[in-house]
Amino acid sequence: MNELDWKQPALVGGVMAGILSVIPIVNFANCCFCAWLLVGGAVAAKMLINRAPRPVRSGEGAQVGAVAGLIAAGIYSLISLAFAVFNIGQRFQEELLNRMAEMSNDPNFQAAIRKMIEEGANQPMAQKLISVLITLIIVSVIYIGFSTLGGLLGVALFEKRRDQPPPPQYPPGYPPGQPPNYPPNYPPQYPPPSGGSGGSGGSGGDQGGWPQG
Amino acid sequence: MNITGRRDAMIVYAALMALSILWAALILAAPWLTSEGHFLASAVIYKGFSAVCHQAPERSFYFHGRQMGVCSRCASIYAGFIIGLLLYPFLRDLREERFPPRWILIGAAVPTAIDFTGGVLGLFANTFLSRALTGVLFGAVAAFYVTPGLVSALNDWRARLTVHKTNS
Repeated sequence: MNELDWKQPALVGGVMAGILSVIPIVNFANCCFCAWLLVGGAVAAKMLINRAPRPVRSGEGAQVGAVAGLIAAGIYSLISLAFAVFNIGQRFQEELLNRMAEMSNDPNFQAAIRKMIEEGANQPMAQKLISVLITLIIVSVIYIGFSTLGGLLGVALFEKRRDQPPPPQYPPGYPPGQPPNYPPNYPPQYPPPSGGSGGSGGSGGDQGGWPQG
Repeated sequence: MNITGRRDAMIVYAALMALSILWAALILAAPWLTSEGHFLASAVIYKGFSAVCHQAPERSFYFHGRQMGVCSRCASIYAGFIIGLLLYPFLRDLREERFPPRWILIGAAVPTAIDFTGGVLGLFANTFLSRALTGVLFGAVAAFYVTPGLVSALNDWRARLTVHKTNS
């Protein structure tokens, strides 16, 4: 992927997925199979395809998706840490736990959930940050994984040049544009034509570069 | 068809299968840990999965009397993915780097999209069975796109490593 311009696609896909994953209400789309991460990875792959002079391989889509996921995870982590420090989002989490308790008929489970909510409210900041960090590590792995999937599926959906034969692979240092099996002394050096080349300039003029006989 | 090393393809396949089984095990571990009284470990797993699923109790399968880590549609997609991985070596060469035609992926996503959209818009009520069947179909087909993609990624990485070693 070195020769492809992958940095900007990964940045755009990652920033898009990261920001959309932290905006309240908008981020509910992530509840549907991590949709914003899939979209971010696919956008990165689509941008890579648009800029690439040759067909993008599925592995390159996966790689640009993974980098986009890493960026998205970074944005999500920074904002989540800020939320944890300032106690934002605590009430929503408590509501979710309460709903889980209400759905269960088991009084022991309900009591455990209530205890968990109480402990969460009275948790010291250091403990809270540690639990947030553990969660962030898990979420980051999930984000990178789903964004990689998005990149893969993006190539599967958007790369329309797959049926073209791939360009030949040259050994390192070989001049680009030359087939690999030419003899080492190719192209042969011809003596300059005597008497000019018909005034057309260049090598061979309208003869396509062949030496004049 | 781009054919690459069989050993590399086997590594990718085995790693993908192991990760998928681990993922499914975590989905089942969340309710099991709760039922065994390990609430903190269970809460961490539930919280982690909340990043990828709404976890609505009324739309989830239950295990050991507790809801699974993800909803029924997500659980079905993951189960379908494992089924797809199991079928993959019988239907395609593991070393194949190219995707199947894209219409198969789009076609497999359509039933899930209809089932989801119909439910959201109130056109019809989707059921556990409809979510499970459409999810398994999509997950199984997705495995046929993820596997060649990762095989290609590993080959790219190996090729770059070889060039780097040759140059240095």
